[in-house]
Amino acid sequence: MRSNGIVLRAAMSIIPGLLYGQTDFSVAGREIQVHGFASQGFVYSNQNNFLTMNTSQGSFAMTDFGLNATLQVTDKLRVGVQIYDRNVGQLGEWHPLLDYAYADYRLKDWLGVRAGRVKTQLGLYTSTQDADFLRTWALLPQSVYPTDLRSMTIAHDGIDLYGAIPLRGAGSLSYTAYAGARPDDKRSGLYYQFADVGWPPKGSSAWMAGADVRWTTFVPGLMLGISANFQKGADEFYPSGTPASQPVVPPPAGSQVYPLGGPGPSSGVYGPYRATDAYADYTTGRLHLAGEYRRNFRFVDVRGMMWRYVRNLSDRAWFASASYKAAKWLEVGAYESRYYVDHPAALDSPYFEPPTDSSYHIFDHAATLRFDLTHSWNLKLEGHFMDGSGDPFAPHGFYKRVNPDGVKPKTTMVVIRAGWTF
Amino acid sequence: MEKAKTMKRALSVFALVLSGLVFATRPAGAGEIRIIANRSVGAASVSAEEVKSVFLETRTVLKGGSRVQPIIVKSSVYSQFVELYLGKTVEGLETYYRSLIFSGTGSIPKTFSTDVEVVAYVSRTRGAMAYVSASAQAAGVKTLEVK
Repeated sequence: MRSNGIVLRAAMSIIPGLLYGQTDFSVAGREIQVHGFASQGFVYSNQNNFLTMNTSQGSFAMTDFGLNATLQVTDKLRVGVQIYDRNVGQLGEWHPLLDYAYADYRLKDWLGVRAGRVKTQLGLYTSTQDADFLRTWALLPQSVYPTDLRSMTIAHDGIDLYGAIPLRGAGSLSYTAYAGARPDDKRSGLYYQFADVGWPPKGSSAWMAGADVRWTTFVPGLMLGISANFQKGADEFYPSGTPASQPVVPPPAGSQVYPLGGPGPSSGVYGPYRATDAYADYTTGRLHLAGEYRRNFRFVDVRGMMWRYVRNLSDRAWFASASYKAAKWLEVGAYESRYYVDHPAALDSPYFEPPTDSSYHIFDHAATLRFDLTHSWNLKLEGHFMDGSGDPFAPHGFYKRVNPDGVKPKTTMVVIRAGWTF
Repeated sequence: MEKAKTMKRALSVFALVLSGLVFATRPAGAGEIRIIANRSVGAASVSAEEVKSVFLETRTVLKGGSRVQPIIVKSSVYSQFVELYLGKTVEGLETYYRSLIFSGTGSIPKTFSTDVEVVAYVSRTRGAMAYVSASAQAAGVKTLEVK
């Protein structure tokens, strides 16, 4: 009865508040902040289908939303929870995810502890990548922030230590160090990349640890940072013959094979995955510049019943972006995003199409117009000119399931995305 | 020779600008803004850097040991305060606060729309720290000198 009363009071506080963009309400004398966002996109491409959508036909299957609540319990203790849901082609498929759920205790300004499900601090945008209203772009540079591989780094169930240290005349330094388990998302590129080459995963788990250090420099508007993320995990694949409908891909010719027992893959061990990242962000007046470089070392030790071998899935990526606030309601921008594959899967195996130049990279030149219609609503119009398709084992947007006849080297794409936040 | 002179002049200007950035204390034009706080706050003065870090939520304790919480007032001096003290535009600050809330690393400060409202709130809220126009009535709160 009491809980019903609280819910009713909360609802009565929120609904009129939403109309005016005010979302605070009090329960038992404590103020709770509620915020959220939603976006709807339309994507049209010339030939290749992107991000598991049928973009060559034009696709509206690009919807996401998030809702959070934050409560400052005491001066030092804050708790928060956020739900995120998306349906981007076959990514997410409307299955809601617990995005974060943390308790944050700030002992000192230079030392705080955050525990629970916590967003990962990695580079400029990992922790805010879903909140597209924060940026000019309809799609973040996919080389460094692939929408399909979001779950690889987005959050961890564990603990963070963080703080900020003033550097007198030299700005300030903030840091985050963390460790925990990576949450699993079965409707993500992490699963589809293996399923599409004949190894449907049954489960995927990983431990991760890492750190982020960012320096807000003495130059107004300039921030520099470095990040690192280490993971050690395991993917469990369906054993040989199960499910029967899935073809079994034998170990690639030329790879180091250890005979063990049966014909199909049954497990894979990530070990180790290592991402290192350097980034810069500069704002002066109406101009905003940003850039980031990321190196991923990723090896999968695939263990079958009869054999095992190690596959190299390493890559590197960078982007540089510029945007300009031409008017209160208009922002224009462009970015160059480049993704390089170290070792395309086809190099090892006669079972894939022979690698071409296109297998080694995806270059994306993007240009955007962002219209801020109101304080809460925005509309983005973005053009992408992509060269290359990348590797089927690390797809970065191009999946066999929606490109059964292969991916052509060039992709031209338009994204229209409307966003709302409160 | 002329080129060397020009280069020397450019370097001098650059050094001057840089030293201005590094050693700047009270922002120019800050005289139209008054920093106020609840009487529980022990400090009599704050540095511009402290004001900035409090409102960007990287600092919760002033040098004297007083715990503070920032309060936003969207009054006539809002954009001036944001630009002079925080080095951002109003839109940039709102984006910053939203990035805190959606990444789970902070919250949006309590917000008022007039000096009268914020003075009343600061006067009754332990640790509250805000800004008002220099001409605002600020009864019941203390004014912090910005050094």
